[in-house]
Amino acid sequence: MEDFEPKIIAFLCNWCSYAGADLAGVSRFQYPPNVRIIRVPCSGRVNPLFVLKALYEGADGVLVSGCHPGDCHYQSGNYYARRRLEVFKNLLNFLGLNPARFKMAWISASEGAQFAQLVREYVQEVKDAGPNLEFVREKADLVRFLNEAR
Amino acid sequence: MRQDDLFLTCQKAFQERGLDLLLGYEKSSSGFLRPAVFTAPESLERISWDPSASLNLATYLPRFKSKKVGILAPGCVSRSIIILINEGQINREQVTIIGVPCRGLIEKRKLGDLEGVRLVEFRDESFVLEKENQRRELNLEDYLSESCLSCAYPAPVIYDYLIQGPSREGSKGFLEKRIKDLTRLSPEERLLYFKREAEKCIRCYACRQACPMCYCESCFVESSEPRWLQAAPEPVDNLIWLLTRVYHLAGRCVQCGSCSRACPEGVDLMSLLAWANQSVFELFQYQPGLKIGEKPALGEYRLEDPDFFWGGGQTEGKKCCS
Amino acid sequence: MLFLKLKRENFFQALGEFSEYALYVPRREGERVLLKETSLQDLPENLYFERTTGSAKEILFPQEETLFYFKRYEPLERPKLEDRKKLVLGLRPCDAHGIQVLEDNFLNLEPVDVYFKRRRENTLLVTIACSQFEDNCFCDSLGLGPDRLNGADAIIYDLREAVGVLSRSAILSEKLKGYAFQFQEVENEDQVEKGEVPRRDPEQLPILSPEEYLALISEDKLWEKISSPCLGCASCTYLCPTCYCFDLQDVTYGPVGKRVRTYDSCMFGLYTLEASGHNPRPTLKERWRQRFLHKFSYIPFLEGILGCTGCGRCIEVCPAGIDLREVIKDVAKFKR
Repeated sequence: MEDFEPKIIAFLCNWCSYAGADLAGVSRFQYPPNVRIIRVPCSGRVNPLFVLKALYEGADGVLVSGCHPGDCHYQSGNYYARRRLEVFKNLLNFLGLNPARFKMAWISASEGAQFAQLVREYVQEVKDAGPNLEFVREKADLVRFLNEAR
Repeated sequence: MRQDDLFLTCQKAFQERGLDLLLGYEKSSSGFLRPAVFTAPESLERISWDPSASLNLATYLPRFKSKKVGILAPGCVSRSIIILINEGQINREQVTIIGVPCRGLIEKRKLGDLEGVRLVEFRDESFVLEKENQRRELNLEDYLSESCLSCAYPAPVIYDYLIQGPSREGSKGFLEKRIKDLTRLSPEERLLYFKREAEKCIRCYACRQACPMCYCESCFVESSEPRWLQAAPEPVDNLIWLLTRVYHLAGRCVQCGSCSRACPEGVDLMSLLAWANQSVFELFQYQPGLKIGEKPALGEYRLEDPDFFWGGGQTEGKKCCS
Repeated sequence: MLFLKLKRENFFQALGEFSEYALYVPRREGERVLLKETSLQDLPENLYFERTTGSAKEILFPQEETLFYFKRYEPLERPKLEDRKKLVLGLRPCDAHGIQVLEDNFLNLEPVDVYFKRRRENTLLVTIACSQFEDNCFCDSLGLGPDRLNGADAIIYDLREAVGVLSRSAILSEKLKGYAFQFQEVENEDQVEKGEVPRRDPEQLPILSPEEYLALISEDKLWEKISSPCLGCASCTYLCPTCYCFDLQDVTYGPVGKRVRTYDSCMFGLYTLEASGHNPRPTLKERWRQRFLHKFSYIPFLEGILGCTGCGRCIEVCPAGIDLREVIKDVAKFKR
């Protein structure tokens, strides 16, 4: 498992977290390249089904990050996201899914360093958890078909 | 509870409230109750209520949006009605709630082979079955649905008419023992357990149809763009179905057990639902269906909500600088 | 048809001749009874099997089936056909009646369903005459019976020390002949010895002609009353031996994909929803009417046999307690 490179999908809110990630890049903070970013207008836009779909399609970890409570560009979007995603995370934990598969964070637009830190921490968490084999769609037959045609 | 009380009260409701129809139960040929729609006061002679009922009648309410509807309601059904009112699916004025006492509902699955079996009667603590002229008396408590054994509100919480009779003692309401047993397992064992349950699912959606809270005209499983899960009953897809339906019911489910009793394959739905409700209760001190005018838990927020996000904690007054 | 009598031990020995067939029997798994592959040694001596929770159609028409694979820019991959030989033992006559309806639908119309055809050709279906009735079953109320051959390849009768096998499969007849102490050609299945098949005094349900049922199509009050408790789930249709509606869905992975067939149900609102948004069966009243007429009017008209087997699974499983027997009576009462 030493050379396992996790694929992490990150849903970042446009006004804070996405800007924060951008700042991390501009400031040349080093962080692992395993995160693929999807920009959403607000963390409140994130439907928990996004998390399930990402895992289903093979993501090893899913990160959702938004503005700190009180700073939402749309006033209250992140408050709803906080309630929703905490209940959802609880449910996933009860289901028995490895808690490393889903992480929630607040990153503001000025927190470039924190974003890099978050990614460093989370990538290591997912590496330790191993690849997502338990909540991924069955596609062995399609993979086989794709490879044999070559 | 006396059946003639029920009959007279329902007749009264029909006349006094000018009902178009009344949702209740009638005896089937085997003696077990089944849902029935009564459209005329004369037909009410068939109306009945006892622990052999199975479905939450509130699931029929959204169909009758423009009608004046009467409905028999034990605790769970009355709470479902409150939620439907709070979520704007029906008006308080159009529904006439006939509260009935509840001793719990039987889980038919626990009775085993029912071929040729007839339900004869219910007594104070027991009920009598008959097969080939042989009768046997069974202890009611041993055959109740799991949801009923831990029901927090057996008696109706809201009603326009109330039928007198004894109800169960309320319990805490979150299937404590089942949850405890499951949380004692390791996460891997729990996931295996739920995956095995998901493998039983045949995606008939009886659970969804039996649930009063599942009234969406277009359910997420029918979405083809984006398609969240396959139509085929693959284990992970089934798990997505179960998990998401439970999540959509978090803070909205009254744990009536209607879904669990409707499931033809006996999938364990109650554990996940109980946990979701318990989460909402512990995080936000919210229990659904107790007060008219309340908003659903996941449809509102408080500034002081618990915060478990990375980089979180209370951030009152912290401003974003960009 | 060949009717053979074999001593019990010889019957089990005869089954050994079918080693190239995978043996499937109903087996209980917790709350459900499923068709599971088993070995000869694990067969019960009394040849008693519980009835499967779902119907036997699943062995020929499974709930999930990959029809073919495709790759972008390439011609379609030929159909992926199931070649495995199966011997299914322990089904009931009601299952076999359901198979007849399915065969008529999948094999006797153009285009022939190649998937069903290949599975049917490779499967031997052997039913066992019922030794007891099931919860809510009513085949005898429909003029059918717990001892009929119907669409099976053979049916087994319990003759105490011996078993009687009525076979219309050349393969079965040939292999069993060597182990039988008696066999003869028969024209009519009622000529054979059936042993003790349970009988009860069933209420004969009034079945009308296809045309009489069709004449009731615009009786809104009747269909409204019948469908009013219906929830619109698919429990009845998925478990019904004669329901064969399916949905097609493509599942892709980059440039490749497969077409998957799954069960569909006429009870779903989505079933007849058209792209314009119009739905010719907008409420459960229309959908229930269609379901009933399909079983009792359209299938008898087109295929000459009843579209209902009387197995009673729909009654057992309906969460709203709808009883098809009462529906049949209500409809007949409504006829003027």
